Amino acid sequence: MSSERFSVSAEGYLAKHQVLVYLEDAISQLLDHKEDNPKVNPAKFFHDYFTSIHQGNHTLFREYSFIRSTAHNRSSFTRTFWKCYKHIGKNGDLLNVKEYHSLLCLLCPDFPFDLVQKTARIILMDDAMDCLMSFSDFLYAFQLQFYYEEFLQDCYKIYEKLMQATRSPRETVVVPSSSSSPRQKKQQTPLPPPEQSPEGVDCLQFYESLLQLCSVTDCSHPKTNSLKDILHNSNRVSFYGFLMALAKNESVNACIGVLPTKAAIMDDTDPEHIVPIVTPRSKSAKPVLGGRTPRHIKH
Amino acid sequence: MAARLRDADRPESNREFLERTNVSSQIRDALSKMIENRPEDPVLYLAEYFEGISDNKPSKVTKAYQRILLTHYTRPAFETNAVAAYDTLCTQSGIKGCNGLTGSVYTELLAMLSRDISSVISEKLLKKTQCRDYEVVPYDVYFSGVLACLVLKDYIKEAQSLFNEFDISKSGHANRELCDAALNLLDESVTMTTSNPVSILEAGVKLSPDKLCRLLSQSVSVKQRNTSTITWEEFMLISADIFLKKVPSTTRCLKDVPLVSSFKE
Repeated sequence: MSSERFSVSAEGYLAKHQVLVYLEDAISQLLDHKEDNPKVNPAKFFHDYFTSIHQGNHTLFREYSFIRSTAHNRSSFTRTFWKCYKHIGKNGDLLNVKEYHSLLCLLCPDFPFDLVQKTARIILMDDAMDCLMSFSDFLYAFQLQFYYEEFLQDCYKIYEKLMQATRSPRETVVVPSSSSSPRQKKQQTPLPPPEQSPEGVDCLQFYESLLQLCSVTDCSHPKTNSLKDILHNSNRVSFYGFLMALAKNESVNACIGVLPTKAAIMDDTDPEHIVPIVTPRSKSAKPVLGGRTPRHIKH
Repeated sequence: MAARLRDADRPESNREFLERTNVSSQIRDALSKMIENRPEDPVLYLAEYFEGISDNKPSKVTKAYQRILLTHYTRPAFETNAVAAYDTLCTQSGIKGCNGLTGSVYTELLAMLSRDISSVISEKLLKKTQCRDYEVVPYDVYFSGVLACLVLKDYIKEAQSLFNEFDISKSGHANRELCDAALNLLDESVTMTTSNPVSILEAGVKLSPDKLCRLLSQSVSVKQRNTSTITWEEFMLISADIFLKKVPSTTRCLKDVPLVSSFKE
C-alpha cells in the first residue's frame, strides 16, 4: 500500500492525489486575491491555502464546481455542512427539501437543488417533496449521494437493466423455472403487470453486477465488503432501499471518514466547532412534539 | 476572468505578476521535488514546502530536517536528500571561510530527528552518535548518525507491533516469559552478525517463524504459566538496548579521523 505510490508514473501519482487540480485552483485563487491585495506574499498564501486543504476547511463559500471536483473536497464539504448545522439536529427540528437546500446554499451559493432532491429520495423513497426529514437522516443520505454521485448513477443504470429483465414478459416466463428457485417467496401470478412486479431486484444478481462495476469503474465507490453485507441480508432489494442501507451503514461512513458514527453526531465536544450560522427559516419551523429529544442537556 | 483580461491599464498582468513573484519557478521546483520523493500526502507536503520558502525563514536545521524526512530511507531519493541536507547544514553564516558541519549543529539535528522517541532511549542513542560541539562532522558520520535515528524509529514501531502480538488481552501487559524468550533470541541473532556475511543468513534462519514459534511454545510450557507480566515501556527499553548495542559510537570512529577543523586552520 505505502510503496504503491512509487510504482505508478509521475502523472499517475499526481492524478491520484489530484495535485494539479489544487495547484491550478491555488494559482487562480492567488490571482483573485492579488486584485485586492497587490502586496500578497505568494508563498505564504500557498502555505495557508494548502494547510486549509489539508485540514479540510477549504470548501466553505466556494463554487459548486470546485466543491465537487475532488473526493476530498466532497467529504470536506459534507463535514463543513455537519459542523455548521449540527445544532439543528440537536434541537430535533425536522426540515423539508427546500429548507435543506437553502441551508446548503448558505455554504455554497450555487448548490444545485437537484442533488438535494436526490438525497430526499433516498430517505423518503418517493417523490413526496414536502415531507420532513431529521437532520441525521439527511446528513448521512446527503453524504452518500454527494460523495458517491457517479457510482450511484451507475448503480441505478444496473438496477434499471435488471428491473427491465424481470419485467419483460419473455423473462418472466423463464423466471419461475430457473432463477427464482432459491427463493422461498411463492409467485402470486405467473405474469404480474409491471406495476405489481416483485419489489426490486434479486440481491445476489445485483451484487454481482455491482462487483463488476466496482472492478472497472474509476470513480470512488464503497468497499465491496460493505455492499456484500447489505445485499446478503435479504433476497430482494429496491433501489432506494439499497441506498438507504448504504447511507445507514457505519462501515461506509467510516470509509469516507469525515462524519462520526450516528450515535456521536450530536456530541458538541468538537473543539473547532464553527459558530452556527443563523438559519433563514424561522416561520416555517415546525417543532415536532414527541420527536427526538436532545441527547445532552447541559446544566 | 474576461473582465480582468480586458482591463489593459492594469499595472501588471497576471503573467507578469507570477514571473515577478517567482511563483512559476517555485511551483516547478515543488512539483519536481514532489515527483522525486512521492510524499504520502502531497497536500501536506505542499503546505510545508511553501511554509519553508515563505518569509519567516526556518533555521537551517529545520530545513535539513524537512529535507531528510521527505522520503523513507529505503528509497533511492533519500541519499540525494541527505546530501542536500548536509550541504544546507554546512553553510555557515557568521564565520567567514569556515565551512563544515559542526558537532553542535549535528547534535541539534539528531535531537530533532529523535524527538518522538522516548527520551530515555534517545539520550542513549545521542550519547553514541553525537560528536563534540567543536568537531567538524564528516559526511559518513553524519549519514550513519541520521540513518541510525531513522532506523531506530522504525525498529521501535516494529517492536511495538511485536509487543501487541504478545499482549493478547490488550491490557498493556504481556507475558514476561514470552517476551524474554523473543528478546533473547533477537539479541543472540543480532550479536551473531559480525564480519562473516554468512552469519546474517544464519540470523535470518534463527528468527524464522517456525523457529520462533517452537521457542515460544517451549518457554510457555516449561514455565507453567507464570503470571509475571511486562509492560510496553520495559519491553521497549530492552529491545532498544539490543538495537543500540549495534550502533557504532562516533567518538570512537572519529579518533581515527584527523579532526577536519584542524586541517582547515
